[in-house]
Order: sequence, then structure tokens, then C-alpha cells
Amino acid sequence: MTWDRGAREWMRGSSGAAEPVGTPGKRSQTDRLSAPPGSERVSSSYPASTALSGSAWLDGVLGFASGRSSEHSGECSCAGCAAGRAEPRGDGEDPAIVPVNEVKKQGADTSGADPASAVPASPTPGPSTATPGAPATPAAPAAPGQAPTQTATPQTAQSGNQPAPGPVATPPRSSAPTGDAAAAPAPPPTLTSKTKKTAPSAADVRTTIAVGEVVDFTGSAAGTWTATGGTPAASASSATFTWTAPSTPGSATITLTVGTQSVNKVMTVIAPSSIAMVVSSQHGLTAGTAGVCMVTNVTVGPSNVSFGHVQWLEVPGPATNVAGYFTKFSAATLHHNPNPNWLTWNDSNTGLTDHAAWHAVPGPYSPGTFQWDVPNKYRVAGSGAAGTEFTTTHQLFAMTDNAGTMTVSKGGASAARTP
Amino acid sequence: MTMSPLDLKLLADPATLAMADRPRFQVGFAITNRSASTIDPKAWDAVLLVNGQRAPAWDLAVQNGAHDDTWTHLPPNQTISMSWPLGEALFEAPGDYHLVLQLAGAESKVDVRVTP
Repeated sequence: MTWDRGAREWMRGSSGAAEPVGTPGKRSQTDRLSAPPGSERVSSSYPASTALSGSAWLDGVLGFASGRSSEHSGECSCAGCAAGRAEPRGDGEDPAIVPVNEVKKQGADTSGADPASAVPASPTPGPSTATPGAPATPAAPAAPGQAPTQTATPQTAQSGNQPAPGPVATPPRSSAPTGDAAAAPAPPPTLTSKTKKTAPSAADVRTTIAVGEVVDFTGSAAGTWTATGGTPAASASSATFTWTAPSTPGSATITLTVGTQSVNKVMTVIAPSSIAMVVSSQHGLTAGTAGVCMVTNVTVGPSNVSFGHVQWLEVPGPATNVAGYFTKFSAATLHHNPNPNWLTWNDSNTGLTDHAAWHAVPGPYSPGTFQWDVPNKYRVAGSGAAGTEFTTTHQLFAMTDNAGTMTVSKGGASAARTP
Repeated sequence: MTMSPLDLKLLADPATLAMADRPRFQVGFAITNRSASTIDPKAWDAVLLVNGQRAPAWDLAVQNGAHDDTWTHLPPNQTISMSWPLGEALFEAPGDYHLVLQLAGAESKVDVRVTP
């Protein structure tokens, strides 16, 4: 591959085509050279005689275009030759600036800017941001007769005494890249998460979590962390972040910022939505006396999160649908008075029992019913909150005959007994 | 007579109240395990007699509800307690009420006066 061809392919690559092979230094150049604010304003003051348009600017810069490179000789004032000579441009400015700015605009062009706008900027006072050692153009292969672009020397780039505003990059064009690897931008950070508790039916890397659930986040690098909900809302620089979900359902975004780059993860926070009961045992009751009993294992759902930080409370309330035998009792007697204390689920969303019973019902017996409609509340353990209702369970008592046969049902479980 | 491993205490507060204050009345129990091993105190078997009559409202309260493991596994020297607002169910009219709580051979008594 010739240098001309390589250079042109490089330019095509800069506009979106695949990066060509044989363009050493291209990567580091484009990475390091960016068009800073104000560069266009500066370029407008450049002498008209050096303004280039179309593709000529590139030819000039590279100094070898389309086999016409040999045509550039003597006092040719094209940018490429100017750069190659590093001679004064006749505008009274230090010639060293010329290639520097040209290089900078090339850099800008590699990001897709219109070449026509890449007119070399005139030098203006200000510290140079040049980065010595960084090739500003594709490093030219050392091919005979193709050494047109090697006059922008490191010294030029380092001409710090020559004020140059803004953005100017600068490197020796023929030098191989040196130290550019260190200047390459760091890869975007990444983050992973793992819940402290394991849900019955989902992995710990899940992004759906229970209210109050605790999640460990780990970043690919240390950085600052923020959360749009839950606690803490932010943390000092660290590679890890332990976060507690808010007490109410919704979503929260966890963001890790490393330098100027950030990455985030959206966590969906859900509350309990169901209660299910399964009979685990029954107490022995007195023979000949009506009564019914079931002890159930209670599970809160859904199972794809862990409610190990969540508490449960049944809300008291009146009996309803009171009929037949049970009308002999006052409303106060049949009022539902559940456990007034909050109970905490275990990490598997269970570990609590419910006792649904009336062990000794006085005779004489006859059919009848009553029921409790039980609002269920949840809250995050330790919050001290009043709690939020999430589902209602129904506990039904029935006496089905004059012998005192009774049934009880609640949360999908049921029991029956004849005295 | 076998010594009960339980220390049973009837909780009733307040001991004197007006009829209008019955909703504030709380009655309950405190059970302490005085044995050397963890026991199931079978709290649901506790019976409350009010002036000699079994109180069905107490039965429904103590025999229903959710519990954790301590309800059935009470370590030595540990106590479980619970109270409910049963004033309206237990005291239908002004008067003096003699409350007796019985469980596993243990007994605890409280007198309550309800004024008009």
C-alpha cells in the first residue's frame, strides 16, 4: 500500500468507513485532537490566500494528493507545502503555528466535519494545548519521495512561548506515536449488582427487588454513586455501593460516575401483593364440643423478590355476613382482633404461621356463618411506618349442621371438624 | 399438683373505667417460661372467665392471628405477651367484673370496675 492510498483510505475511514490498515497513529490522533469551542471563530481570521476548500485542503495538508504532490514546490503556498516547509506565511506570525493549526483541523475533520470548514486557524494568543509526541496526521510510511509532511516537529508542538489559543494539537507528523496509549480514553465504566438476600424464584442479580431490600453494587472502577431513591442517595468515591431500596414501590436509578463517564442501572421496587396459606397442623379439641382449627404456613408474594426486610400486620375489623347460629353473639364478640404486633417475614417470604380457629363453640348448634375481611398491611422493618394495605384475605367460619360441624377457610386453606 | 412451668399473668388496663371508655380497655396475658428448656406454652389454650363464664371474645382473639416462632418456642426465662381491646365485648353493662385467666394449671386474676 502506498502512502497516498493509505492516506486516502484513512480519510475515508474517518468519515465512517472502516479504519484502514496501515495508518499508524490515526487512532491516537483522533482521540487526542478534538475541536474545542471557538475554533471556527479563530479560523475565520486566517488569510484568504491559504483558505482551502473541497478536497484541496487535504491535499495541501498532506502534500501529496493525487499524484500531484510533485507539483508542490518552490513557493507553493498550499497548506501542505506550508506545513512541510514550516516557513513564514507572510502574515507576520510564527510559521510554527501553521502546521499546528492545520493538524488540529485535520483532527477535527476526522470526526466528520466538513473539510471546507477545516481552514487552518490563525494563531492567536494563549497557551498552547499541544501535546508533544502525539502524531497529528497519519504517520507517513517512509516511502521514497513521499516525505512531504514531516516538518511539524516536536519543537513546533512544544512552542509554548508562542501563544495559541485554544485548541491546538500538534505533534510531529512523521514520528511514530509515543505514549498515546496512555491518552486513550478509559472505557466506559460498568456495574453489576447482587441482592443481599436470595429470592425464592429469582437470581441475586435481579433488578426487581422488594421494598427495603439491600443490594450490593460493584463498579468496574471507583467512582461516585448516586441513587434517585432509597438510601443512601449518594456516596463518596468507591468501587462498591451498598444500597437499600425505598419503602414504597417504584423505580430507582443507580448511577456510577467515573471521571466524565457514567453508567446506571434501573431497579424496580415492588411491594407484597399476595398472601397464601397452607395448613400445617390442627390442634386437638374437646370431643363433643363444636369447634374448628387450622394452623397455616403463610407465604407472601411475589416470589421473585425477598421480603426478608418486610413486616406484616393484619388489620382488625368487624365480622360480616353474620347469619344463623352466630347471630347470638354480639358484634363486639365477633369483632376480629388479630395479633396487634408487626411480624417480619424470613428471607424466603415465609416463616410465619396463622392460627384460624374457634376451639370451643357453645351449644346448642345450628347452621350459620360469619366472616372476617382482613386487610393486610406491609412496611419495611425498622421504618416504624403505619404500613400500607396490599391485599385482603377472607376468613370464613361456618357451622353446617345441628351437630356442630364447622369449617374455616382463609388464604386458600381450609379445615373442617365434626364434634 | 404438678408445678406449672409457666408464669402466667392476666393483663387488664385500666382496672376502673367508664362505659364510654370501654374501647380503650386492653386485656391480655404475659407468659414466662420458668422451666430450664424451651417450651410451647400453648397460649391459645388460655381461657378467660368473666364472672365465672367463659368469654368467647377472648377465645376468638387468642385463637386467631399470625405469629412468629416465639409463639410456640418459648426459651427459658423468656416472656411472650399480647393484649386486645375487648372492653365492649366483655363488659356489657356497668358493674364489677372478676376476671380469671387459666392456662396449664396456672391462674391469674384481676378485678375490673365499670362505671356508668
